[in-house]
Amino acid sequence: MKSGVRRLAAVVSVAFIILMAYLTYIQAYAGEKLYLSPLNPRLTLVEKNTQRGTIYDRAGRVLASTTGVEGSFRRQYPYGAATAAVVGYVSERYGNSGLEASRAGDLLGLNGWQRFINEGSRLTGEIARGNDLHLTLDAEWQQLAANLLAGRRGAVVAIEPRTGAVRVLASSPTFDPNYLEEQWEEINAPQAGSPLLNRAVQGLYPPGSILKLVTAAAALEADPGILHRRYYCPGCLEVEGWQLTCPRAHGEIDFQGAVKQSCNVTFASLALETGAERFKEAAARFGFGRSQDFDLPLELSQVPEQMDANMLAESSIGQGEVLATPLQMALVTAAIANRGIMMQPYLVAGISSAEGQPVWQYRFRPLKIVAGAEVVAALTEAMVVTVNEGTATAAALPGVQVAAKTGSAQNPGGAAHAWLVAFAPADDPQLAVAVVVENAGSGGVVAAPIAREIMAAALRR
Amino acid sequence: MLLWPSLILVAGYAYITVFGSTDLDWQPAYALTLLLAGFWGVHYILRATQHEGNQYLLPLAAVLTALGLTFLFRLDSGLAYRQIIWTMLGLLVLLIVTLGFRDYQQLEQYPYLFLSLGLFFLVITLLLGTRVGGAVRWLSLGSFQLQPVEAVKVLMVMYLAGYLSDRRELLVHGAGLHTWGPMIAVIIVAMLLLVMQRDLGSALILLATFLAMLYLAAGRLRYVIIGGGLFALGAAQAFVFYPYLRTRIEIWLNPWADYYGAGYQIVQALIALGSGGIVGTGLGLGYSHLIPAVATDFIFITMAEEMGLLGSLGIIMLYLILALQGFRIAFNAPEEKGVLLAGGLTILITIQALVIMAGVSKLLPLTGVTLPFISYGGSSLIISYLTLGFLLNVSAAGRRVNL
Repeated sequence: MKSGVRRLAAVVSVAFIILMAYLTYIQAYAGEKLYLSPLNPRLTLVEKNTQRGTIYDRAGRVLASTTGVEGSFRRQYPYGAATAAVVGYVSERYGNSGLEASRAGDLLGLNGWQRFINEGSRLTGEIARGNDLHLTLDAEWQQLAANLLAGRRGAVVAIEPRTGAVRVLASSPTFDPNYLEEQWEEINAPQAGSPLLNRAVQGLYPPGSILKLVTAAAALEADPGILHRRYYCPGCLEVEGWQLTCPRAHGEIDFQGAVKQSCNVTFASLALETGAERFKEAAARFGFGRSQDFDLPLELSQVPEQMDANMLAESSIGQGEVLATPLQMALVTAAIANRGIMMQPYLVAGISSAEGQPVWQYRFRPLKIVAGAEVVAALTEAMVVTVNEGTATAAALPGVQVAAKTGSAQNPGGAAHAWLVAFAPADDPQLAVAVVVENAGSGGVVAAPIAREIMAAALRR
Repeated sequence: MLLWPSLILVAGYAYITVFGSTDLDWQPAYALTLLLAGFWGVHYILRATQHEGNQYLLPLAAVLTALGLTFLFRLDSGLAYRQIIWTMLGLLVLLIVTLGFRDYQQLEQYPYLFLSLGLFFLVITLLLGTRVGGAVRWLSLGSFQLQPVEAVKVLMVMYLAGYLSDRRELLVHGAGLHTWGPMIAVIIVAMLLLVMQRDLGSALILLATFLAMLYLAAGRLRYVIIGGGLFALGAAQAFVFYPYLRTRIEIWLNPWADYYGAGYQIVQALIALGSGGIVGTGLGLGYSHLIPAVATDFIFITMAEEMGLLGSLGIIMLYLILALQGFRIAFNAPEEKGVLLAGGLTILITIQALVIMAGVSKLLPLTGVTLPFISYGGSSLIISYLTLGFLLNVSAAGRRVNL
């Protein structure tokens, strides 16, 4: 009986020690993340007596700044609606979004020791001030993208392939964060088209023919010999009783021709040859179905888990259940532009204190290798031909070789979504762009000029 | 050792006079004097009557109650006022138990009396109880509300201590249905009644206490495993029949999925824990008063936010010391009844503290029970001091035998 008491005491002690270890984890380790949760009502109090840090673009242009004195701070956004998709908003009534939400800890100076230093300065009567963010975004290109998208629904994402720096991330329709509270009713009206939805990172679209880049990579990895084979397109292909069609019969065609003309029949046959497993593996390498670190909340791009021949044929041309965000397709393009190396995309290049001292600096890093050098070279060549004599001639720039792929994605909502992904210059890529315009028809007609304008602005420097 | 709780009370009083609202309709100074007199008075009375009980228990309880009072005052001075009255009544009950019923062995001759009382309380709560937030736990007597379940748990321990020690020999050798039957039936009926009141926390605590006492009496781990297995079966059944149980588990697994609805309480509790960090925000500077039931079940959250990790670990350690002292008393008890009574009561009080502290911090699914000695509530506090009284009596008996 006495030994029983001993054992019980041991069991109870162990239970208490587990509780202590768990609380240490929650309060000391996970504490900061919990504290910075947008659901924390304490942050509203901090917001009232802290001057939020300034947000700069990559050239030092102000995207968001706080003016006024304690008690009546006012947050101003000089670029207004154009940068709203990235910067977001701060509202006592409606909460936060964008970087204002995800980087609240930095902007309010609540990370690490800073929080205690700020507590201290509050006690001495000074106004606590948060840290400044320095973004990779280019405000002028962003403004240009916003202008080009104005009046349409869609998104533009532009990435520097070598580093993963996000230069443009625009979504349309958008809203003006300077007048969020005044215009809240209009913004949320059904006819407004959800301006608060960031289509660039949360819009899931069927990618249509631009997904053929992924299909091609899968097929080329499996068999490089297909580059030299010839195919025949009779205008349609029957897969298990289901018909897949091309706009017209392409007749005899090679790999480059199939990319250039965006031939559905050839790509479906290539995918069927390659098999569902290899196709899924390639999609996963390019980032489909993989969660990713990013400063804005992402929707997950996806290809179906289980695919019969029918679904595989559909998926290979970016239809069916395949869904992708514009950011995802920009990453695919940037990875091809960067010799098959996908870089971690990032928005915040650095953080500095109120006094201008650098606090933190981003170091760009590769995410993964998505395809081999020969595969990437073949894809680039095919994309160049597509611009020079294929579906993407509207993306061509004088004096600069552009590489591109168009897409016109069928969807239940009406006319096809117009897609274009491109990078330029083809031999030394400086910028990779993905453009989608909802229900606007042909990618080569609607999306290509938008991408062209942005690349032109970027390469004019 | 009573110096520590006294210091906490004085510090709490200083806090009140510096920061507190001045328009109280009661005098904190008198309350302070009353509490100090109460704790020291009980101490000297026990000493004067040569009650040789454990020296640590009263100071430990006093520290916990003093901390609880300080935080209750910070949350709601009205609650603190009533809690002070409950504390004094609790100390009175402690005195009655330690002076009037010092010979616990005599009490343990009537296990069926405790059993009947316990089941009676459960049944009338179920029949006449008031429904608060889905649970039928309260018994209203005029403007007065009781939570009989607190008493029921102690009564069941007293019954089990008597019953198990009488039949210990039989249990060790396996025994038949006539030995096991009544006891198992009683436990099942009690648990069913508790589940019908939707007091899952108390049902669980009662079961854990029963299994622990059974292990103490029979010394067979097998029984505990069989008991636990049967319970798991029962729980699986309940899971199928009670949809609210399923919601509980879902909230536990992912409170963030429904943070404005069912998950609100636990999400805000976690945020409060995180906001407290290591050193805490300081007394009165936290922001946990928005959490529902913060003065009762969730008071640990306020303490952990405002005293930080250091404070929350401190509180857990106080309960751990209380548990170890309780087990020491059981270990030194002169005979079986004492071992079972002290062991059972110790398990009862520490498991309850563990269940609620782990519940509010999402280590275990949340079940609403009070934090002994700290949470606001007369029934809980008085019964906690009653338990303390019995533990003191068993320890005094052990001391006398060992001398």
